[in-house]
Amino acid sequence: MDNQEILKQYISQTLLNGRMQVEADDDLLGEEIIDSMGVMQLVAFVEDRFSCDVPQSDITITNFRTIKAIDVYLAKRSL
Amino acid sequence: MIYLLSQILDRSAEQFPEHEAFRCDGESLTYDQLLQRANGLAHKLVDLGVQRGDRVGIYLSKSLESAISIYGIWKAGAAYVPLDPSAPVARTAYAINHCGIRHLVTQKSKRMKILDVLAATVGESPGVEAVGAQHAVPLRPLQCPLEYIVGLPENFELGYGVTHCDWADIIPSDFAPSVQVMEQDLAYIMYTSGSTGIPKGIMHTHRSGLNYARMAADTYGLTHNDRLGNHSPLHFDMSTLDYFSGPLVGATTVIISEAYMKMPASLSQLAQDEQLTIWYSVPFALIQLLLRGVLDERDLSSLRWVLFGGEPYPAKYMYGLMERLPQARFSNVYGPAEINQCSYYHVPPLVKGQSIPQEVAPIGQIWANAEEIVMDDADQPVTPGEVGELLVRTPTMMVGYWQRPDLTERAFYQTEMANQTAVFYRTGDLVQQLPDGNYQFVGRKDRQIKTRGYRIELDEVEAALVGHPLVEEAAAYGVPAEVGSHQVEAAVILKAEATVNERDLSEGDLLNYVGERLPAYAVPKRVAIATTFPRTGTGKIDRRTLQQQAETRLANSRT
Repeated sequence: MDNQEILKQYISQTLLNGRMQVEADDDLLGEEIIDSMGVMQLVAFVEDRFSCDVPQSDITITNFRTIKAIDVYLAKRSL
Repeated sequence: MIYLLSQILDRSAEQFPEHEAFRCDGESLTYDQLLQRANGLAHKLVDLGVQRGDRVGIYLSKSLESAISIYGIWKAGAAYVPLDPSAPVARTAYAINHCGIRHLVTQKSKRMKILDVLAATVGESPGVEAVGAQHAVPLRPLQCPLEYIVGLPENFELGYGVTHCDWADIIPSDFAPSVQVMEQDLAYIMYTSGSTGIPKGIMHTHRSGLNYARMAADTYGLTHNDRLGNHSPLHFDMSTLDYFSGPLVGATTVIISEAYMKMPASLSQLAQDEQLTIWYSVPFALIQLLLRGVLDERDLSSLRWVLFGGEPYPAKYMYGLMERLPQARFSNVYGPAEINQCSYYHVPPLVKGQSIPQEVAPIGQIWANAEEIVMDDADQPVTPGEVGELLVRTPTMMVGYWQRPDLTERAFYQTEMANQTAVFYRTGDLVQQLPDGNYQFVGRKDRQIKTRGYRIELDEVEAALVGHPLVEEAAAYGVPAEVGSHQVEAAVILKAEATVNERDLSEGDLLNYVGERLPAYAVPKRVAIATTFPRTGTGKIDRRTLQQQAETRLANSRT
């Protein structure tokens, strides 16, 4: 399973409790999807699942707005 | 002399036509552009039949259109009703029906949600029956009260006999339509939680709104050089500083879109890039800024006032941030939405070597053009220094709750003062006057709690749970969540007649059920399905014990 799939599954099933199926370019930070607590859970998941440390300064709109953006961020980190 | 909130814009557009009034996501409107766009919207609304005293809904994400809508609606002689775009559709539909909203202003991204809202206004949606159940509003009106929606694309099909136009169809104008409005006219109605499970609409006039705008601008010495950060959404009363007081002095208000509120490192970047001078938010956002805003890497030296309100700001985090922002003054803003604001407390900076106080900042003293009484349960004034309920009389006060004379009567207290009848608002807040004259907030008289500044009536949460056909009794209680925030937990007992199959009802089912009826911040994080409740001697549910059990469980899970 690729990164985007892993993130889709986690967000749709765990964070949103199956309320909605998110797509790779859905805006995760609008009014409807993830709240500020959810962001922290998502970051903790990313750190754990992809065995990396996400510093506070990287938790930004640019890096976390969409699943695609998170994927790009993860790829950039592993270079 | 200006006596209407809409005249704020006329005056600033004359004094500062080329100055930026609002900014959002890199786009901006000067005062002259805002005036022209607001006039254009006002003409459109008047042409559609909007009249003095009408209520026009605003269903928008934070955007430049928010500002155009507020001033355009006022210039049409109507009052604006901000609807929370993240609220369950049943709740939004209730407000539209209850307030008789015929015209709504929205944006393209809300188009699918609008279809759900329309269905719900005619009762074709789960949750509608419960939200309106005990109230005299027709639940299934023969037709949707909405007639017209501004802000949807031309080719979009709405149905329900509702017509619409796009923002691009609104032609800017140098002149406002000619409508008769005076300061006693309604300017805005904000819906808030009601303890019976039915939201109530707080009615403010041009007079109460403008009085607030002036007093707040004066208290903080706002000028056209200021740049205000707008954190609060329109349906939250703290937004009035950014939308009323900022334009009153010709300042620039930077509307901070939703995503930034969840990303403290981006928010601090925006505060630096936009050179914000005034910050007004709930303590939660400031705690996030301190803990996750990477302040080491930011220069926020432009900030001169950090205003906070909505709930107590834990001292440790307040002083922590004061250390990081030594050039900014901090002020606690107090006042329920019903009276806008009535007091403030400018936090004295810590002197070198002084240890950090443990107590949260007081709410201060009632400001000059207002007065207070602190009363006991028998409506008798308490001796100074004793705890009592704060009652406030102020020109920034609402005129009542929309079409709820019963609630309005209970909210007010009348007495004779200086040879005339004086009307005070019962805040429900318990306060204690300190020896220096400042008031300290000590708690609530009822079962209202706050989370990130939002009011939650625990009775309303219980009413929503009991609305489920299989629930016999429910108890809801608040427990501390992350710093600066609470969460609701609840327990229910199912009806004895529930069949064995029905007893498979899961926690998830109950959460989904209340999620269709309550705003997200009021939905319990957890609902335990119990067979018995702890009871008090009189047989009432012992909610305190349930709450303590939950707190113990949370404390154990954290260690």
